Amino acid sequence: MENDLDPRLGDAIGRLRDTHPDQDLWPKIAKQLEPRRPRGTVLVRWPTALAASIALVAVSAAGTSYIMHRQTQGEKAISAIVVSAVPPTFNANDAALARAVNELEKAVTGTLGQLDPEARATVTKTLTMLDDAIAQAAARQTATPDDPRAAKFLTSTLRKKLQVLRTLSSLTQQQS
Amino acid sequence: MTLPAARHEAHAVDVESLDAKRAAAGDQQAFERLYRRHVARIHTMTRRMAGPDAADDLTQDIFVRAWDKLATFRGESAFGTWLYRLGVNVVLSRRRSDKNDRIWILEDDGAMAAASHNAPHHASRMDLESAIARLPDGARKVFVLHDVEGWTHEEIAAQMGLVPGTSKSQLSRARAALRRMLDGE
Repeated sequence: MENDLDPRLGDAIGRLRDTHPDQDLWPKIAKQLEPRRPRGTVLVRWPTALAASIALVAVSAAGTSYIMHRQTQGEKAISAIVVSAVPPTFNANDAALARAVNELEKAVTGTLGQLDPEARATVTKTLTMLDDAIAQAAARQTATPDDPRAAKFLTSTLRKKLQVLRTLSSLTQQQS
Repeated sequence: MTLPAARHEAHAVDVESLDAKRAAAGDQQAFERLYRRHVARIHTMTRRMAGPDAADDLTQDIFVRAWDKLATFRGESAFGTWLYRLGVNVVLSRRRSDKNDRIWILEDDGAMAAASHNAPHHASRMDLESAIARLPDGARKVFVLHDVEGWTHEEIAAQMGLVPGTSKSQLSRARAALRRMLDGE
């Protein structure tokens, strides 16, 4: 069955020639080529939903931070908090959250260099925004220790940062 | 092959291998040279296997995937061979992802007969490219891979997810239909 190739058909096959496309396809191809990244660099493609959720966390934290900031107008400007030293005013729950944030942040910070510049910029901006929100919440809670809203806001911002760090940790582990 | 021709070919392979390494490291100009050298072969393959309407898109897709996968090219075969295999994979996987996937290889004699009987009567003989284009999808791919590209039935079967016997019967039917079309029957 395999050798029943008609000589005329064989001749016709022998006369087949490759032909170029009618148009040059290179410009369209070149537009789709991803630039190569240096060795050891991980390209983190942000799933849309994930990116949206991180952005929402950041925006939510920033929004709450803005409200809190307005409520504390007239107070001394709040300097950025360094959560690594857990303030003694934190309750047990917030202190545990802050320690979890510290540990995870140390681990994640080491992997940020593996992200492509765009992803790294997004992550850094998000973390900075959350740090600012935590700093304001901690200052508010110190100033008004009996204010339940201040305590709730502090817990909420710490949880949001922990959530973002967990997401980042998961992403970088998947990509490495 | 004459000695100068052999030297020329060896030089071309060296240049191509170097371009493949450069492209793998991110050199788009080197990749463009590879594109220029192979685009006709890849485009012709896609046109014959998938039809003229899909050929441009598939060719673009193949070169973009080649760029993405260049790091896996170890130089164990010629770059052109590696690219062609990748291209066939892309064409076949595109077909597999289409709807009605399972029926395409089960084309019966009726479809094959229709392909040859629907040939225009005003042309007593068709050129082979036009005749290939009229073959049913599965038979066309088997014919191109076997008779034009020189693949074995075992290779075709492995690539297309068939048993070799199916590939053989598709080829036999394709040849018969092509003979009829070329003879203007």
